[in-house]
Amino acid sequence: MAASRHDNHGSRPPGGFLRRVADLYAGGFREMTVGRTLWAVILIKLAIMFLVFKLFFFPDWLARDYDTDDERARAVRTALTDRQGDGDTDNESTLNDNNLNLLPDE
Amino acid sequence: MNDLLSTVDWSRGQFALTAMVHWLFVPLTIGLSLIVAIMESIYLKTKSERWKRLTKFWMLLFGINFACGVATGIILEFEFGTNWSNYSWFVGDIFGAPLAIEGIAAFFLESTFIAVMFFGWNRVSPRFHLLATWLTSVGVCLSAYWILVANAWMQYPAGMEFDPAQMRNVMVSFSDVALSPVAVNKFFHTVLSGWVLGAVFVVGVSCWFICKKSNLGFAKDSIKIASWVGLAGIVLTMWTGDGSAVEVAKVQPMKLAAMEGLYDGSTGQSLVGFGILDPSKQRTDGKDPMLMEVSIPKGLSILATHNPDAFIPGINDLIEGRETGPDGQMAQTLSYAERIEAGKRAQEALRRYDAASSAGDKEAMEAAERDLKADFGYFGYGYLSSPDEAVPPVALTFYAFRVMVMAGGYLLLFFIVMLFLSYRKPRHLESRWLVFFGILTIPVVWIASEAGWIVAEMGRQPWVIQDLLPTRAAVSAIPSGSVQLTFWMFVIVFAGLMTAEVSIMCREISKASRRDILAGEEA
Repeated sequence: MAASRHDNHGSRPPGGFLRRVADLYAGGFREMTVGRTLWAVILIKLAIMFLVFKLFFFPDWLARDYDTDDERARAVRTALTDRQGDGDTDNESTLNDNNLNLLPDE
Repeated sequence: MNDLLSTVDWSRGQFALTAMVHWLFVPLTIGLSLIVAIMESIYLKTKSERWKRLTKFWMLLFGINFACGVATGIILEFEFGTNWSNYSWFVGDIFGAPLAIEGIAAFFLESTFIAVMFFGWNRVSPRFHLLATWLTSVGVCLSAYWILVANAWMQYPAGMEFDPAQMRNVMVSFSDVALSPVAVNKFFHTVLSGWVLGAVFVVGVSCWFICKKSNLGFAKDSIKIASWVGLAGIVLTMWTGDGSAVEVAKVQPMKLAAMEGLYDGSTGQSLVGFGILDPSKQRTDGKDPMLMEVSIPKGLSILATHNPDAFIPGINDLIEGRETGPDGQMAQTLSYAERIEAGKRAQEALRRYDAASSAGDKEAMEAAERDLKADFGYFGYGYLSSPDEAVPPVALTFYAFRVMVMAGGYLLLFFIVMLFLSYRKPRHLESRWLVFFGILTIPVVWIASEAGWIVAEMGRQPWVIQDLLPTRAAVSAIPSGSVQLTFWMFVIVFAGLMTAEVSIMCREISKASRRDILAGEEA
């Protein structure tokens, strides 16, 4: 990924530990070949995930719609106790042959 | 009503798509990281430039796969909050803790040492570089471990108590969650299968070099190392697969019955080696579920309990309350009809708790909580209208299991042949048929790996958390249209990612085939 021009294993640049760490990253990024393309892939991917998907399409409903954990707990309790089977077996899932009736009475 | 059902299906489809695409990258990362670490260890021991070149080439492909795969799992976490908000809340810190540990510890360990791996060849000592390579491999496995702990808890909820006030499961024993037998077994089975996949990848790519009559020495050395890793991996995967079967028989007997297409069990139960299910089979029609089968006598009893005469329940047995007892004989337990009643009582108790909580009646809350705890183990059954709803999709589970097992058998033979030829008849490694099989085995191992997850995840339906929460109850009340939209967006993004990975990898492999990897100028 980061093809090195001088593979003199073990030779250390002068300076303290942090300097050497910084040099490792700076030199590594500078000498990248395929790595440049891969970083582009990573950055584009992360941008799509966090700036598009997370921001516009994947809200955390409970965090967004309720202010406190008590309210969230009550909302889930209501959702889960309303979704009780009542013997109706007409609704078939297309992904498996289980047949639950979990719908709110609305 | 239909919209919610559609939401469930689209959410499941979206989760399956995301998880399966994520799983295309993960096992290759696991397997390649180990192979690269072994190759670098040989380099350090021999000080041979040849092994350094080998290490660097496979490290490059590891890097391409890691870059394309990294963070694809984050999308699953987005889906938890949006599509599966009830589930996310209900699992509480049981799920959150392992994921947080994974994110903080393993991921940072991995990322730090990956930087040393790629940037540090001429900047750190050879020993430290090797340490970084091994720690990357360990970090990859640690990441996998915590994710698998979370998954195992869904299959076998342990180490928690349900708190109706918080409406969450609260962890009471970290060790019961982190070291549950299901989690430990799942970890080894999964990671070892990653070794196999990585090994097949290396052998397959090496075969391509041989096919191109390029870098023959490099390819043969790579095949040797990868075949040893693959052989060790497949033997240990089979061993841990046996452990998985024992755990499934204990904690998810319905999954085992579905894996075998077994409706009516018996003592000394045979194992279906190969079979074709009768698609018209209904649970209670008394028909033979198999159109044809090749069975191994007593095989399932041995596989599931290590006792050739043990009783193995079928789907009908489980529904009627017959299970395997501690002595291997048939034992009576609650029928599914009784479990459904218990689940409804638990849910009614939760409703009473809610009403008492709203009214501020502490005495009534305590009474409701007691009733809830008494039946909480069957809470999820309260959502079922009939016992038939507790039966997973039999055909998909049955065939996916057979695909995985048959591919495993083929891979065992594959690595034995590769090793035999590598040491005894290395010239035969250049034969066209062998090269052909080597390349074709690459998709086989991925299919086997994905089939394993299909068995694990479809075989546990209808549960998202075994016995406690069915998949449909876990979903958020959101319009199915929004899930469909993001589903297709994911399809496009994942297709782009796969195209990027495959094209970058093919380009680098093709470039390498035009030069001498072991002696020429480095890439």
